[in-house]
Amino acid sequence: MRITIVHLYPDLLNMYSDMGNIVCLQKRCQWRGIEAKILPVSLNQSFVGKKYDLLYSGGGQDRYQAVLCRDLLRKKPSLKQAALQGMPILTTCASFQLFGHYFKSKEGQIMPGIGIFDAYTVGSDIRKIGNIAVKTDFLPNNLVGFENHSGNTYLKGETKPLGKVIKGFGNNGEDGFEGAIYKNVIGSYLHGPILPKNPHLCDWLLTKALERKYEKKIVLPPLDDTLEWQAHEKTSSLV
Amino acid sequence: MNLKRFSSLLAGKLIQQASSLTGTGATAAPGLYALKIDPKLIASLSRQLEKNIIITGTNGKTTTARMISQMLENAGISYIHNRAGSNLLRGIASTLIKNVSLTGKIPSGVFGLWEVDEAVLSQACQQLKPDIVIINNLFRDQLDRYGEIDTIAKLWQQTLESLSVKTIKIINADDPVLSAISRQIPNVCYFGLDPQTPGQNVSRHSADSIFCYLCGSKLVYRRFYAGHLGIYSCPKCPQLQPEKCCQASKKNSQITIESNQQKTVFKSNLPGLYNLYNFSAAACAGAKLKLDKYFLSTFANFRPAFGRVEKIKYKNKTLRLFLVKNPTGFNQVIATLINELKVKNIVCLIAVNDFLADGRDVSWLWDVDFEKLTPCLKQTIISGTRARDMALRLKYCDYNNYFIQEDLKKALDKLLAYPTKELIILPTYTAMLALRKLLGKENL
Repeated sequence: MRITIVHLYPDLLNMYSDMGNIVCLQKRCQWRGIEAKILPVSLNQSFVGKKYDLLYSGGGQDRYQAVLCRDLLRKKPSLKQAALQGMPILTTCASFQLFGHYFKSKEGQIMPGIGIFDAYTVGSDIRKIGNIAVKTDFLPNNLVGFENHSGNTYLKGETKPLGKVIKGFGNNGEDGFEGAIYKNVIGSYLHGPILPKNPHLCDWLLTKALERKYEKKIVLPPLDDTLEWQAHEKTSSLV
Repeated sequence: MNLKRFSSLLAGKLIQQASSLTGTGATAAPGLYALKIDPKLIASLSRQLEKNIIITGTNGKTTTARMISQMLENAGISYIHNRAGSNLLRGIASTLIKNVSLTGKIPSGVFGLWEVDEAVLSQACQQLKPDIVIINNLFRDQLDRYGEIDTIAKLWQQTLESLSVKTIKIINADDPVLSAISRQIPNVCYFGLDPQTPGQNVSRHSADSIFCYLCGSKLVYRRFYAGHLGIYSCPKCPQLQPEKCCQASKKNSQITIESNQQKTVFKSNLPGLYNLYNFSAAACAGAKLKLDKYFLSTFANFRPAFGRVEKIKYKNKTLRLFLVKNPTGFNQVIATLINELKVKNIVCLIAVNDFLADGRDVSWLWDVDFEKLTPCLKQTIISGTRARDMALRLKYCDYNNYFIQEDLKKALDKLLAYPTKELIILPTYTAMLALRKLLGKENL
């Protein structure tokens, strides 16, 4: 089996160890004999959802948001279509925010998003930093990570939270929710990076990608994740 | 001297006495409490110093400061320096308290040499009114403390704009963000590498700022030296990279520093391109202080500060310690080990802690190119509070030949038990302090 993973804006959105998520996806395929190809897609490059199986878009500095925004809006139709067709997509931090309707800065400037998540983000002065644990209703174990964001994200309508905050701030420090999920599109503020210590989430994304591609039920052969869970436990204990 | 000042000085001195008697070594506590009583203490005490020199930046503060301090010593100039590691305001205050009399007097002719944490440069400049400010570089480090590097860049730009015209700003021209924020600032002296210096193969994904800070265009690099430091240009902003007043180059172990049309040539075993930056920053400052004639004696005999790059002889073993704090720093250490020192079959201890001084978020390990290091590893012990995270990072490099021992003492014992005489230790900050202590090296 083989899989093609799109890495969106790897040159702009690479500020917070996001490569670790790509490495995790890639290795967990390789270790199972699945060929994983990573395709970087950046500014002024088009993206056709049907050809690819999984997409990841990471975090970045506020400085790049304007440039990013303009380009992301151009990719909006194909990204929206991919999302509707059930393509698994993982977005973290800045990407999570821009996959919502908009980001409104403290100064009132509005940066439009692509509206895949029924959500919006407002800038704030309060940085929400620390280890975090999240309980989801579709994964057998919690998610752990480190959050570090000042934006407050609010979900509405059809978009569900990725999970409930067990301990930590979450999207806005108020509603007890973390991240977002719509069809197979996931958004989250979790760093760590999010996938290596949450192998069950990584495998969930890979399973969805392969099932969509090969149009059959897929059960990934298990890997020895002892170390992953030990690292997961350690973070859990720090929360 | 007013009552507030006197009480704060007294309190500070008492705490200093108390902690040195009880051996707690709380270097920053006196300053912390003194500043609560008199927040203007630093300004009033430092006013008496002949000159105040500030050094900041993500990597290299301590080494650059140490180079300058040795230059001052060679020139017979007295100085005070917040050497013991606290580079926040409380550390500066503590150092001042230690060196003034109870009436708050400092003898004349003494320089102040201040290592300043990136986040407090503005406050330090307001209080110290420095004659010289050195900015080494701006890398991603401890994002859990600083937020984003742009947050710091913006603060620094405001700080530079608020400094007196008379203040000499010494800035790394190979850093595109620093070049951008200092573009309109008067009295800047730039340093960096000789542009003929061959570049390194740096992984793009740990280069933080490869887009122009001024216009957002993608920078064109002719050479990458360390992280996003290099020889670059912006397609829209002419002459983004300024001319250097002082530049360094290296051939084998011979280093050449060019400053004021003069060349200083010396041999040094100090590894890494990053030390060339430290040399040229120190030379830039030295030239402004008219200490050029002490360059050769200072640089040729320079030994780095504890733990940064340190060789420790222990029983019959030689341990080389390389402090690691952030992706660029770690990548530089790896490049040094492989390209310069050409070490193969490394027996090493990697110790990763996540205390406040180390950075609580260990995500940064995933921006380090361990894939370059693993082929050279023979035996690896992983230790520290986040040993499992470090091991996980190596697992995802397809490297599994490691031994995990979270306890530093047991890990060190295990390292020393290997028959190999040359051992390497790669610790984060608090792990480095702890390991040095275990090796019987508490002096700084």
